[in-house]
Amino acid sequence: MSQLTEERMLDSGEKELVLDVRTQDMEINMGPQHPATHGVLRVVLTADGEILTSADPHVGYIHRCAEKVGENVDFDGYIPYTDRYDYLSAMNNNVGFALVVEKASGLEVPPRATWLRMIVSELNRVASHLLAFGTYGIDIGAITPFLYGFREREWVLSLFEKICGARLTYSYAFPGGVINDAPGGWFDEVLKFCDVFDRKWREYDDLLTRNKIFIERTKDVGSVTADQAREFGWTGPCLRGSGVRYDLREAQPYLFYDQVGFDVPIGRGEMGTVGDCWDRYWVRMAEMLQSTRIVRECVERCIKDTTPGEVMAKKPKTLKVAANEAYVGIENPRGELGHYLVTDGGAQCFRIKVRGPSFTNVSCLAKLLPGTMLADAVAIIGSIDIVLGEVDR
Amino acid sequence: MSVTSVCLELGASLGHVQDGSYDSRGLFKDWDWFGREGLWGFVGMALSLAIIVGVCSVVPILFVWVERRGSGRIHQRKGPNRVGPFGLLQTLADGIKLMFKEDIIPANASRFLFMIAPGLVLAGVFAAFALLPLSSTGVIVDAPLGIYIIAAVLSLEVIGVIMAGWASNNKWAILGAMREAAQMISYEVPMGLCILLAIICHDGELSLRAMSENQAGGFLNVGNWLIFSNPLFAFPAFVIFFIACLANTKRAPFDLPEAESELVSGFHTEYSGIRFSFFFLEEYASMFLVSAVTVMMFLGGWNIPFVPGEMLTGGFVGEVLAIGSTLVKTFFLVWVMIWVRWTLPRIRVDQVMTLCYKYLTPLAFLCLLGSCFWEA
Amino acid sequence: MNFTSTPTGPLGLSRWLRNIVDTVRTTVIGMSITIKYFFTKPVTYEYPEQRMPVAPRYRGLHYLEQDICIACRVCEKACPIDCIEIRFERHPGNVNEWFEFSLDYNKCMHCELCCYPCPVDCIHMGREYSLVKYDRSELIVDLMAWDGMRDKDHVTIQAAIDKKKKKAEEAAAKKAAQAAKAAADEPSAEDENEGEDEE
Ligand code: SF4
Ligand code: SF4
Repeated sequence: MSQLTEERMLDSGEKELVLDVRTQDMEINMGPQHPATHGVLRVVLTADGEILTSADPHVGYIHRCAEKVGENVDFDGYIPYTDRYDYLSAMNNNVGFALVVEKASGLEVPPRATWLRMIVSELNRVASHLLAFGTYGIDIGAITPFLYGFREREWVLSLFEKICGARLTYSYAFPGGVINDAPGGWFDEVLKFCDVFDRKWREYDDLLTRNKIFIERTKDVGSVTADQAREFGWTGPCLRGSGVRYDLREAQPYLFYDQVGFDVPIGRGEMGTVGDCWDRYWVRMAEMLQSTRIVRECVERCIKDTTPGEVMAKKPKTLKVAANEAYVGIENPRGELGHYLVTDGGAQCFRIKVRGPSFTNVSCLAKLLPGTMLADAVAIIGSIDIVLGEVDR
Repeated sequence: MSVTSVCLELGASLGHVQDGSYDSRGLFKDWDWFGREGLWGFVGMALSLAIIVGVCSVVPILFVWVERRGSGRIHQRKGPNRVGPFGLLQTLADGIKLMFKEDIIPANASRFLFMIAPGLVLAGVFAAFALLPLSSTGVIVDAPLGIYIIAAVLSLEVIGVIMAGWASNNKWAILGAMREAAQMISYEVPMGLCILLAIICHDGELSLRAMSENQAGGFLNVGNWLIFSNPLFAFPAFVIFFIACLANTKRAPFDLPEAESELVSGFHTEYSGIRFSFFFLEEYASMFLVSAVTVMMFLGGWNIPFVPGEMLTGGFVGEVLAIGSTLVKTFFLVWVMIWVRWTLPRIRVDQVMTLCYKYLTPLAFLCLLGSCFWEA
Repeated sequence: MNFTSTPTGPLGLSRWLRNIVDTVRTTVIGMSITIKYFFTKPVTYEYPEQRMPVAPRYRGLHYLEQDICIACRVCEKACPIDCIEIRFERHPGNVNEWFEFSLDYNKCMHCELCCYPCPVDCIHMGREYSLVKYDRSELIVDLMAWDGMRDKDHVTIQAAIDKKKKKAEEAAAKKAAQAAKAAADEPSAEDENEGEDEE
């Protein structure tokens, strides 16, 4: 089929023969129902054999108008909706919205509520990263780590069930505090979980993180330099995986994060280049240990410094916030979750804008995927760890 | 190896059997089907076919159960436990369900190829079962070129898979089929080298039955097993062969052709119902087959420690013991395959090639060379 | 930007050997972990027979203590997605004849927001979680403990009506007496007694 069609002169003076071998790139539709896209993400790929030549992410399949809903329900009523944008870290979302309302209204939160918020946020971070770990294993083809991750995650969920009654959509932190104090024995179980989890973490490390095949699959894949990561607007583990030490818990401490000690793990290119999939994955794994460390300290301070029972500020039945505006960004497991709230004196938000980390992080796909292989595409999408509920909101 | 070469070799080996130049010891040899004409020849054929089909369908059912229960235990869950004792009949129930499901053929599929592909895939394994000895007489066709025919017939599968992938008119399917083709053909190189090694170590015997007999005797009737008699080279070769087998049966970590997280379901994305179950059966049947071949070549065939080799090749008790020991060893290898699957991640398509051509093939060559000197 | 994933550096002999050793080592480690768990007990529940124990605060399906409920509709207003529907008629004697206290579990998200503001604390979230039904319409559940009214309600209503009647009669008699006494006086306020109905 090939025939000589033209001769071209290169800049160097050499003659280049251009053969007319026409191969057609294959256009593949990955998603919205594809096992590796973590929900209803659709990526239109063009592939030259196994190598991708372009990628075009399409989002919006589960848009639920969360922000518009916020303008129609009262502040308390919006909390269950925040559960649903990143349903894997609902506690953090609750805290994020509660914080912004408190900032706008000047509500004072009892210290015990703040400590409890920190404990549940960090536990939720562990649960969320465990799921990221497990699903990343599945993306790479190892199914067992997923179930091991879920085993520990279930324990966290049981802890949440004990404190707030739900296992996924918690609606625990409300403007002014949290709904319930910890039940008896809860703190002991949390500490026990932290101890057991640290042991199991070592097992994950042996089973997946240090596995040679896993390393080969993830190192040098989808490498993003620090500058590129900033350009993408990345936050969270993705940004830190590229070697940027930026963690809102440390950079702009909210709650009592300035009173506890923790490290911010960053990617150092241990296995390949800085900012490859392995680094992003590793940052998540390392963060889990930091989270248990924070939880331990919070539990200690919570028991020592505060009186049981004081978990909700005195607030009117229907909270009304005078005309004001506020922005609070918190460190979600996936990056900066920002809430920008404008109020007009009513019982509802006048406008609520949510800056979801997954939405910003997913935007890199069009840049990141071309030139990689199809299997790498799955690895990259998995390493960014998006939750489509938050991308689409 | 192409279809023609398979036919040629099969014909040649059958020819050997008929002109008496090879001491054939097939099952029902006394019946001498090939010498008979008419009804008895037909009955013999039908009987052996029934045995193959029977084994081919019962063994996978068992393995599917082992895989499900085993993976369940590895994951600290229970696995199927509803149908039958310990869920043993679950696979059967699934099979029945698959049979009654609608057989969907995509509108733009190439109908004929789409329909025959699963059969072709299964046919290769069925054919290879005929050549597989479980004991010294427990073999349907004891061909003098046994191991080569098995290797050739097994590689027939790739044609069926490509056919399935192409005929489905699905992009994921064609990607899966291409991966399968590349993988199968590449891994035949180290596989073939390891087979050569085994042939050299077994005094040039090509028949699996003869290889196994060759491994009798020695220290505790274990000393002559190939991996023990030639530990420096045959043991690595055994590992290489086993890895190549994993690749050839599309088992994790080489399950790229169906990589469910990348290609949805790979080459059988569009298949449903009974046709899908053919692919399913084939996977487990070929697992059994390659494990049995590995046992015959490297793990001493039907020889058991402490039992003299002669005892296992004659008499009813010996036969039963031999079949039992072959099955136990084979099941162990199959279990290892399952165990590996539930431990390791999948490797990437370029790494499959790297592993084959940069690691396994040179190593297999080294082993081959080494054992030439070892045996000399 | 170039993001291709090409292997870095040439494959020297030492790296070649190290790769082999690493692969074998990590595979063996991984397999030892999985086989360790093979011999441990399952951690799962066999759902329909064994049910997972739920925490005391579990937010399951609602239950309503209808005896106490005063039909104030606060819960209806508090629900962010309006899945509670209350219909009743108030009878004399302060008896509510219930037509509907329905909860649409198609919509309900188990947020417990309806339970917090209840003034008499009579709506709670229970521990039952199974919502398996054959039809969506079956998910609209009526939380009423009884059908409309109970027998004793009829008695209460009857008593209230009787009382009202008696009062009215008394008032009428009084009025008649007054009217008789001061025949040419100005007419008195007639709707004095109306307000007592609702108490
Ligand atoms: S639990 Fe929430 S959604 Fe359900 S009825 Fe109560 S307020 Fe409404
Ligand atoms: S808030 Fe309580 S008392 Fe009022 S209607 Fe609802 S359940 Fe009844």
